[in-house]
Parts: sequence; structure tokens; C-alpha cells
Amino acid sequence: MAELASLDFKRQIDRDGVPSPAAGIDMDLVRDCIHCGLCLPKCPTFRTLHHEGDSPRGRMWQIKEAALGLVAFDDPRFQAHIYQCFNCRACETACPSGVQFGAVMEMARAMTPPQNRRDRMVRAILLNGLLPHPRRLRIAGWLYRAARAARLPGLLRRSGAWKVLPLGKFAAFPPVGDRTPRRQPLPALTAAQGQRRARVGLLTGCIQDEMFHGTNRRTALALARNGCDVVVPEARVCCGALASHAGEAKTAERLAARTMDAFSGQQLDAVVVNAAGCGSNMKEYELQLRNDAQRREAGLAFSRTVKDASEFLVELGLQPPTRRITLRVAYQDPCHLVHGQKVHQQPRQALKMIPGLELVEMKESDWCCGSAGVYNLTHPEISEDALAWKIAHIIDSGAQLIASANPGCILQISMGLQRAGRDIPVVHVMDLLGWAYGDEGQKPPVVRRAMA
Amino acid sequence: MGLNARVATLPGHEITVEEQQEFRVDDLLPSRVMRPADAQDAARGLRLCDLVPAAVVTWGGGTQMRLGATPRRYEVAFSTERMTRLLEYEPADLTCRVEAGMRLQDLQESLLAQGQRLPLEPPHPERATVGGMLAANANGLGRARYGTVRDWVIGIAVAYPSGKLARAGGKVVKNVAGYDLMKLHIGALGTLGVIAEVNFKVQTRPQVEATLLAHFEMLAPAIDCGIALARQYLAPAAALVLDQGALRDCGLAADWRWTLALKLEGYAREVEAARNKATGIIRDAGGRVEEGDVPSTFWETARDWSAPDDDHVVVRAIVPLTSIHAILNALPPDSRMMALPGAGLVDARVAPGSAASTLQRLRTAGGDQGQVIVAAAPAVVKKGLDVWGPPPPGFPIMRALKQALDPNGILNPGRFVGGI
Amino acid sequence: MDAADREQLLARLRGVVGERYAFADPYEMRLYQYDASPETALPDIVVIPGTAADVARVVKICADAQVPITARSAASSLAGGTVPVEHGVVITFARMDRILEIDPDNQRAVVEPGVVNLALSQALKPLGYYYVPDPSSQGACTIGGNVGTNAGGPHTLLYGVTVNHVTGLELALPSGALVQVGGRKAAAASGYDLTGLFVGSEGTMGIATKIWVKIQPLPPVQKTLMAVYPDVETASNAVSAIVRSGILPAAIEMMDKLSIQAIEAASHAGYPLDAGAVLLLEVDGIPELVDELGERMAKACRESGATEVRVAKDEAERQALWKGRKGAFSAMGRLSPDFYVMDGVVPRTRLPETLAKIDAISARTGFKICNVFHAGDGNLHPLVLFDAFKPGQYEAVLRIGDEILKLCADAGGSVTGEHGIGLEKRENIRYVFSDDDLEVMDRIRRVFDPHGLMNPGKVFPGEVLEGSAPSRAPDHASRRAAAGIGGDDVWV
Ligand SMILES: Cc1cc2nc3c(=O)[nH]c(=O)nc-3n(C[C@H](O)[C@H](O)[C@H](O)COP(=O)(O)OP(=O)(O)OC[C@H]3O[C@@H](n4cnc5c(N)ncnc54)[C@H](O)[C@@H]3O)c2cc1C
Ligand code: SF4
Ligand code: SF4
Repeated sequence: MAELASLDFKRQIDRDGVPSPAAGIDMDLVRDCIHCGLCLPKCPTFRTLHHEGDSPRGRMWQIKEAALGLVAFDDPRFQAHIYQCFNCRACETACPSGVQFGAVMEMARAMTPPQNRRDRMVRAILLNGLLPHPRRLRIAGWLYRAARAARLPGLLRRSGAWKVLPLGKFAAFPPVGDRTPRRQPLPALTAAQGQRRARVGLLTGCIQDEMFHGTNRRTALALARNGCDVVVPEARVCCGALASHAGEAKTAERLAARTMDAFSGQQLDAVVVNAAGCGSNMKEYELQLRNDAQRREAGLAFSRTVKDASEFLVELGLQPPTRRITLRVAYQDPCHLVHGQKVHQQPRQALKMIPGLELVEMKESDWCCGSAGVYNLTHPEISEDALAWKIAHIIDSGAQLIASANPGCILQISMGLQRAGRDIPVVHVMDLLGWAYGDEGQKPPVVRRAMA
Repeated sequence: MGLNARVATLPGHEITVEEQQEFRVDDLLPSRVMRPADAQDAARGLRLCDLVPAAVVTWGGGTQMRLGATPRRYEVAFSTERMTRLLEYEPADLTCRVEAGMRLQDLQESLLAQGQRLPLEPPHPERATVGGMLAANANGLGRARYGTVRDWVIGIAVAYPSGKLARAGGKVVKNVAGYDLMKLHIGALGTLGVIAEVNFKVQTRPQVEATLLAHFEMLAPAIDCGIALARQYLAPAAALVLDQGALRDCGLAADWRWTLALKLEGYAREVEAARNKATGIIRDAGGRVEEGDVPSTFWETARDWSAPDDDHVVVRAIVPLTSIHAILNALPPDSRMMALPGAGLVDARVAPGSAASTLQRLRTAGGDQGQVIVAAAPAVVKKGLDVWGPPPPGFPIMRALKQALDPNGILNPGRFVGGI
Repeated sequence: MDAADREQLLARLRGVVGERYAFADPYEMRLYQYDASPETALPDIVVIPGTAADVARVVKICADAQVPITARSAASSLAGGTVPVEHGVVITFARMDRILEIDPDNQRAVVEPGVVNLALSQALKPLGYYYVPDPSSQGACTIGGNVGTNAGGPHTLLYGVTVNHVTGLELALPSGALVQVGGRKAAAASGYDLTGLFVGSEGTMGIATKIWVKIQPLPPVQKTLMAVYPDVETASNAVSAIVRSGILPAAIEMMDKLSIQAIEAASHAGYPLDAGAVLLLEVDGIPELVDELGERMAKACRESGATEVRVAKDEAERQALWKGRKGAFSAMGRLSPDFYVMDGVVPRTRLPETLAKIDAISARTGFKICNVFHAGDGNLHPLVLFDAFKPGQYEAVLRIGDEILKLCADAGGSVTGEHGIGLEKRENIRYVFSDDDLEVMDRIRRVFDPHGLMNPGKVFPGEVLEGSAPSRAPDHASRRAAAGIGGDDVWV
């Protein structure tokens, strides 16, 4: 482990001059932070841990010192604070200086080996071992559905085994998706209904398509109903979001290139994404491909075509659905939608178009639920604290159903609500839209009753 | 050399009998009068007194001399009567700097000439000096709307027994350089130093003034009405509740049980709107708005009522708003009272004989968040009273502050809280 | 502090707050070396207490060990107020962020020092109340820190700064005492106004562990106007004209061209990029009057040379304008890697000449200086843009700052209007106060803190003041010695 600087920042610089910053960290981005602290009250890890090192300002400061060599990238304390970050980017929304926190954090993580054993395992198995490999994903998906068909979750819950097994809490409290096994992938082209207004690609994603296939189907339906030809590339792609947010730069770069290839040459007006994490990642390919000037350009051009599903539909002009869903619904902003993509109003507007649906606001709807990519696996305790706040606010809001727009959040909140003994399903905005447009797939009982 | 001999070496002339009477505090007479010419002079004079050491009572207009306990000792009357200059006044900046001995009314007249004013109206402005107003924290009826002395003083120069003249604050309306010693000296009753110069911020005079009287059969709604109005966006410049006796004292011989008197200020439309709003609130509370004329001296008498020149005993309670009803219920039936509901303040004139028991009852009623003091009383009555009540929780700090700034205890010894 | 002393002290502090909330790891100390100013210094130990009683015990333990104590809330201080120049223990209030009581009947709220300013107003909103002082940093800064600096804000022009809204405090003092001064009622009826004295003392007297504040009903309507001026001089003349006209707005803020550019880059608030200067004004009150007030104000603006006056047509536009203004400092991060902000005050009428002189300094030195400030109060915030990584720039900027503050003082103003003296301006304080003035203040400080342990190195100039013990002992050994003459007699 390298030495810490012996003097405070200013005196150190005064004495030794400014060291040249580490390659791989864009010092201009780091120095956008003026350590004003305006982001602190919005940071979920600061609220839980109370430590400056676990605040956005503290993290920016550490990255600055690391980049200048005053502390070491492989210092375990540096790693701890950097990996304790949800990367929810709430600080980015709060920051008046325009600090690109997500970008800086990804650079820092790329320089920093993961810290704890759990973290290394999750990376090896999930990020590098599973997600990039469509075949393995399919097997995992099959296993998941088989387990659910065999009523494994109930078994885990009753036996209490979920408390000790790895991933136990997610297995025991799975979201209410389609329970039917996925029979076949979405067709390569779903034709527009009525007048054709656009031709779009749809990212079906990695986990998304295995666990939330129905959501993909309903997204396609909603798009088609609004006059879109929906193209689904044949090659299954993972956009690399989880890898990139976790600092697995190489895997991320590879996956980015693959994703761009999959959608190229299709004359698309937009690439529509219904997973917030993927969308925000794909809107920033420029950053991931920054090491290669040519691909960076291509990345930038591609990113411009990427749209979140509700963002796209609302901008296109959503056709009001006809079926009533008489429910009080609260919307949970996924971090990567509200902070990452600054999409805040559109999902709400989409929901409000559904007849019968009453939209209520919960407190802190734009706070991270603790899912944060693979964070709930690598840092269960901090994640649980964030989830506890979320569950409390949901219950206070009086909502009968939660709508969100990202698989990770849906999994996490659904787990939390079930564990708290609440029958409040968590579904995707596109699920509700799809049902309201007449999708006949399986629905949670609460929704079924509300549509009766 | 004995104390008297040493006092005799102080500058100034042999004191006359008239002067002794003029500068009498309760039943104590001074043996010297000092009248410094300016702030520096005051500091030098104070230093000389400290060397003696001679007990000093600072004199402004003398309007608040009945406030506080009788001093333990009293040798020198330290009068600011020569320090009356308006040192600086910049109407465009709405600030001014004055010597502490300037009479409030003189200051207001200078300001008025520029269409401005200091929205503080302590009793007897024709005699009260600026320094005295600060030392006694003498506030007028407008405090719920305009705040108190501490909200309008932006700078101060104080002469200390060490012979130093030290400033704090400054001439600008917003300033956090150094400690806010203005706050320390306001209400300190001259026990920490002699206020020599004061910087104020001032305001533009309102265009229109109006009075609204209403009467109530019950006290509680009148008080609640006063509180509600003070919270309003168009808060009256004064909202005062008087009982029948106090109303008579103010020159209104109506037989109204409880009267709510409102002073409305602002530009014409504002006053109009405020009047409508107030009328509505009063009616809703069951009050009757009176349309008749108000004697021109009404507000002046009301203002001066709590600092009588004669031997009335005035008890003052300052409490959280929610305790105000308890205070009023604890007043003896033969008292007369005036309350500023929005400021949580009740002044009552009580019979000398029942002063002690009234104090006791009010203190119980005010709870530990309230304070009840004797605002004015003749010496004989004061002797048997606990004028300030039990010292507040931060008292050890107060005593230490006194010790730090006036180590020989020459300034108003014994007159303030806890024998300070 | 040597290692053995530190370990021993740490163990005792952990005995109060537990393992997790007291630490001395040198790596972690680097995270408590800074605030929003350019200053840094490393503490020896950081403590994150959870209750007032814990704060009192922590303070007592440190005082007994003669170790300096620096209070740190959100550390948004722009004057280096939280930077522990003399090392020792830093106490933060990240865990003390509870609103203890909201008492609308008495128009009071009681809060812990770590409550974020905006969080209080948000909690009050459903009840129809708010907490008036609104520093531009209100999204982050805390009531404790606001008490420390006597913070102001755009809307304190009409309603007064922090001290006008605090009625009571609970204080942890070096003696170990936890004392309540003032409280729920409107004003002190007897005794010295210790609340008023403490507010703005920047942590040099003790630590506020509980705060009673006034709360005020939300204004029924607010109207925000933006007046566009061809140049800064016309705009600053307009400020005096408007104030003199008798309508005192709730806020008058000024932004010059450079600031507008930064703000627009940051938030697209809707300020015109080609304006020489912009005034942002607000009036509030009841609906039937606000319109009239707004019109009168607009008229006053036009008469004083505004080329355009725009009234925010809805709440969204109003919020956008204010968001832009409140984010102004941080937005400077987009113009330059570093900035240095000053906080001088001049009488309103001296604004034009002062701004012209600042302009001349900028031209002479080549450093860009923007101005975005509380014009109604004459409270300037010149921001000098620079790059701390370029050798010599910071020193040059400090000299510019010094010159500007001198200028303000000479114009009859002050060297700080709301950010505090802190570490940064402790020498500049001499521009407004004589040795005698400072000696009296120091004496008062020693009543609370006889050994100079509370946030040492702040507010008072570095040099020994005549007639009092050193305000800043050079190291711990001599502080111990100095303690002997420090005035134990007045220890409270
Ligand atoms: C972008 C930006 C805009 C700003 N705008 C304004 C503005 O408009 N108006 C304004 O006034 N200021 C402004 N400031 C400055 C700063 O926000 C204020 O000084 C604020 O009051 C500091 O609060 P804090 O919680 O960050 O306190 P800190 O910075 O942590 O502390 C400030 C001072 O108070 C002391 N202190 C902290 N807590 C306590 C306590 N509990 N008891 C005793 N002392 C304590 C500290 O030792 C320090 O000296 C701004 C700052 C920034 C970064
Ligand atoms: S990230 Fe932004 S808000 Fe947070 S401290 Fe840095 S500049 Fe301020
Ligand atoms: S990304 Fe989220 S968790 Fe990380 S520092 Fe920012 S606000 Fe905190």
C-alpha cells in the first residue's frame, strides 16, 4: 500500500508542486467539484453512514487526491468508500457545478480493484461470467423459471433458509412478473398498428428478458399501438451497464461495441430501452469508448438515438389507452432514469394517461432503493438501510401499486415489500401501459381486480 | 484616602442639592455628576471612576430609572446629556450614527425630515435617549411587526471601565465581522459598559396610519385575535389588548370590557386591505368594531403607560404565546392591564400591596419558559420584591461576563439580574 | 499531537460515542481537512456524536486534555471556518439532524444543529410555515452552521438574518456544561442576550447543540421580477433608488454578465445572456397587493434605467430564476477550476464606485472577477476566478481579495456580511476593528473559552492581542502554559 501524503492538501501542493495526475482520470472533470457540499443531503450513503468519505464531495475529494498520488488507488480505505457508493447519481442532479459524478466514479472504479471478497465473487460470476454470455443467461433464466414453477420461493420463505443462502432474499421474494415460462423470444419485427409514425429498435436486455419477458412484450405492444415498427435484433445483447457501473471497463467496452453492432444498419428512428440502467449506459457510450477516437464518435451518434420507453412515447405523443385500471399508483424514479437521464416527468405523464389510475407521490421517490446494480449483493447492509427508507415511504404514500422502470429496482422493492408483508406489487410503467392497451398476459391479483 | 475623598478627586464640580435630586436612583443620592463630552471622554471618565473605584449609574433621559433593583452603591451619576449629536446620516443608505445621549424624539425629527423613521417607540421619546433605550431594551408597541431594539442596531461604541472605547458591528445593514456585542449591551442596563454611540438602520415612513378599535365581552377571544392578527401577512403596526382601567388611562371613557386596539400602517391600499382583513377576523372572533373617533393622544398614552413617572407598580410578563392566557388569568382583579398578544407580553399595574403575591402567581403561571419582572416601582415597594425573579439558566456566564468587562463592579452594581 | 496522546484521547472519546463514531485513521482525517473554501488542515481525531449530552462530554474530555475543538456541520463555510488549523478534534453533526419539535402555536421550531436549512422549511411547508433565512447553500448548510456564521440569504433583506430568527440555544461549553440560553419566548426579559451574542461567533465560544428558531407563515403570494440593465453601474444605482422609494422588496439580487453566463450554462434559468447586469427582485404579500407592489417596483426599475422588466409568469419560472441565482457560486465551477469568493459589504450608495474599483483591479491583474450578490444589503460577492494548480495564482488571488476587502472597509463597510471571518479573513478583520475592539471581544470569548480551545485560529488575528492571553498558542505545550494566565477565574 502506498504512503499517504504527510501534509494536508494545500500545504502538500505548496511544498511539492502539483503532481501530474494519473492517466485514466480526467482531472478537468474532477476539478469541476468545488467542494461546496450542496450534494450531501441528497446522498443515500451519507445518510446511512454519516461519514464524509461516503458522501459525493468526499468521494470526489478522494478521487482527486488519488489522481494526484496523495492517497493510493489500492488503499483499502479508498476502495471501501468508492465501492460503498450506490452510483445512483443523485448528487449529479443536486450539483450546481455540473459535476459528472457518474463518469468520474466509473473512471475511478476502473482504476481500483474491487475491495471485498463478495464484490470479487459477484464480478467473476455475474458481471463477467454470466451477463455477457447469452447461452449461459438462457440457462440461468430457465433455472429461475423452473425454480419458481416448483414453488421454491415459498419453500425458502417458510423454511427461513432465505436468510442464510446467497441471493436467498431475492429467490424467496421474487417480483410478480409473468409466471409462465418464456416460450419464445419477441419477433424480429412487430409491425406498427394504425398509421406508422416511427421505426424503432427495442433492447430486450440480458436479465430483463429472462425475468421480465412480459414487460418486454408489453413494451413492444405499447410501441406498436402508437404506430411504431418495433425491431428486435436477433443477437441477444447485454448493453454492459452493470459492468460499466461497477468499473469493469474492459467487459463494458466490449459489450458496448456489440450492442451498437446489433442495432446498426436498421434505419431506426430510435433505440428504445425500458431498463433505466441500460438506457443511461447506452446514452453514455461516448464515455465508455473514449479510448478510441473513432468508436467514440460512433458511440456519440448512437447514444443520441437512445430513448427511454416512456420518454420516447411521451415525446411521440402517447395515444391514450382505453382499458381502465382503477388503482392508486406511486411512481418510483429509478436513479438511472431520473438522475442518469434526467427523465422525471414522462413516466408520470404516461401513467396519468391510463383511465382510472390515480397517481400519488411518495416521499423521496427519487432516492435510491438500494438495488444499485449489483450493490445489493456486494453491500447488503447499506442496501438494506436504503430499502427500509423506501418501504416506509411507500407505505406512507398509501399507494396500492408501485410503478418503476428498471428491473433492479423492481426486484429490490418487490422483495422489500413482500418481506414487510405488504401486498403492494411492483411493476414496470410499460406493464401498466401494456395492460391498459389490452395485453392479456398474467397480472398480479391487485391489477386483475382493478381491471375487472 | 477614604472613598468620599477619592470620589471628590473625580473631574466635575461639587454636586448641588438639585442635582442630587435630579439624579436620584430609588432612595440613593450620588455625590458626583460627570457629563462626558463625547465617546472618548466617556471612556476616560469611566477609567477614573474605576480607579477610585466609584459606583456609577449611567443616566440618559431617566425614563427607565424605576426598572431594576436598587443599586448596592451609588457615587457617580454618569450623564450622557452632552452627547447628543447626530454624527452621520445617509438617507439613501437608510443608516445613521448618533451619540448615545441624543433624545429619541430629536432623532426621529431628523429622520422625518427625510421621510424616514426608526420604527421603535419606547415610552417618553421626548426624554428617553438612544443609549437608555438600548440599555433598558425599551421597546414600543410595534414589536410584533417591527421587532425590537436588537433588530435595528447595526453598530455600537461602548466605553468600558478599563478606559477603552471599543466598537462592534459597523455602519452597514449586514455584517458578521467580529462578535455581535450590540446584542450583549442591549438590555444589559448599563452593567457592562457605557453605550456611547449607536448605529441604526432606519426605514421609510409609512404613507398612511390608521387606528381600529374593537371591543370584546371576553378576554380570551380578544387575545387570540391579537395573536392571529400578528401572524397575518398584513400584521398591524401595533395590536394591543386593554382592560377597562387601562383604556380609561388612555383617555377613552368607554365601558367596553376588553378592547383590542390596532394601529395600521403602510400605503393606502395596504392599510385598507389590512383594515378589511382585521375587521373580518375580529367579527369572526365575536368582537365589535368601533367606528368612533380615537383621542389623538391615545397611542402616546398607551406607549408611556408601562413606564409611569409616578409611583405605579408595573409588572411585566414575557412568555411563549401559549402561556399568555395563563398569565392573564393569574392577574388580580384590581389590576389594570395592557397586553401585546403577538409578542407574548403583558404589562399590569398592580396595587403596591399585592405586588409580591402577583409576582409569585405570574411566575408560576408563566412556567419555566417565561419571565416575569417588575418594570417599574417606587423604592419602598421594590425593597420587598424580587424584581428580576430567579436568574436565568445561563446566569453563571452572565456573571463571568460582568466580571470580565467590569472587574471592579462599578457599573450599576446590584441593579441587574441576580445581583449583577 | 503525538501518537500516544492521540490513542489515549481516542479511547476516551470512543467511550462516549462508540468505536464507529470516533476515529483517527490518517486516511480518514484527509476527508475532514477541507470545507467550501480553498483552505485545508488535518484534524487528529473526528467525532460524530449522536446527542447533545455526548457533545458536552466530548467537549469536556477535549478541554480537559487541552485539545482544540472545531465544530463542523455541513462544511459549506466559505471562510475556512471548519478547517482545523490547529488540528485537534473535529466534531461533526451528521447524526444530529432531527427536528425535535414544531410548535406552530408559539411560532417556534426546535432543532438539532445538523438539521439542513431547507429540510426545516420543507418540514414546515405542510403546516403553512417556513424558516426565513435562506442562504444560497440552503440545500446543504445546517441550522447549526447558520448559527455559527449568522448566515443571511437573498430573503434576509426584509426579514432579517439568522440572529433575528433564533430565540434560544443549548450550548456545550468547554467547562463540560450544557446550558440553555433564551428559549421559546419572544425576547429576553432579564439577563444578557447570550443567544444574540453567541450567534455568529463561529464556534469560538462553544457548540450549539439545540436551537430554538422562529417560524413564519408562508407568504401568500410572491412575485419575482427580473430587471435587465445595460451595465453594472446603472443596476447598482438602481438598487439605492428602489430602496429609497419606500417599497422594500423581500429580496434584491444582482448578477453581472459573467455570472449570468455561468448560471445559464448551469441551469438554463432564463437570464438574458446579452444583459450587462440583471437585478432579481421579489415582493411578497397578499394577492390583492402584490400586483400593485410588483407594478410599482417594475416602474422603479424602468425609471432607474432598466431596458427590460420581466415578471415571472408562474411558479415554475420563478423557481427557475431562483434556482439559477442560488446555484450561482457552484456554477462558477464551469467557468474556471477554482474561484475565491469574497463577502465584503458597502453602504448601498457606494456600490457603483466599489464595483468600478473591483473592475479596475480585475483589469490590472488579469484575473476575471464576477459579481453575483445581495445588492439590497450592499453585500458584495466578488468571485475571483483562478487555477489553484498554477503556481503563484492562489497567492495572487489572496492579494486581490485583501485589496477588495480594504476597499470595502474604506467605503464604510465591512469585510464580511454573512460568510464569517473564519480562517481566511482573520487578518482582514483589522480593517474594521482596532486592537481595543478586538481585545474586548477576546475577553468575552475567554469567558466562554478561557484556554482558547474552541475553533482556535479563527475570527481573531494571528498575532497576540495586547492585554490578553495569546489568542492562539503556537502549540499544545505552550497552550498548557498559557492556560495558567488565561483567566481560570472566569471559567464557567
Ligand atoms: C454555494 C454556496 C453558497 C452560499 N451562500 C450563502 C449565503 O447566501 N449566505 C450565507 O450566509 N452563507 C452562504 N454560504 C456560506 C455557508 O453556507 C454558510 O456560512 C453556512 O451558514 C454554513 O453552514 P454549514 O452547516 O455548512 O456550517 P459549517 O461550514 O460546517 O460551519 C460554519 C461555522 O460555524 C461553526 N459551527 C458549525 N456548527 C456549529 C455549532 N453547532 N455550534 C457552533 N458553531 C458551529 C463552524 O465551526 C464554522 O466556523 C454559501 C456557501 C456555498 C458553498
Ligand atoms: S459534487 Fe457538486 S454539489 Fe457536491 S461538493 Fe462537488 S461541486 Fe458541490
Ligand atoms: S452516486 Fe449516489 S451514493 Fe454515490 S455519492 Fe452520489 S449520491 Fe452518494
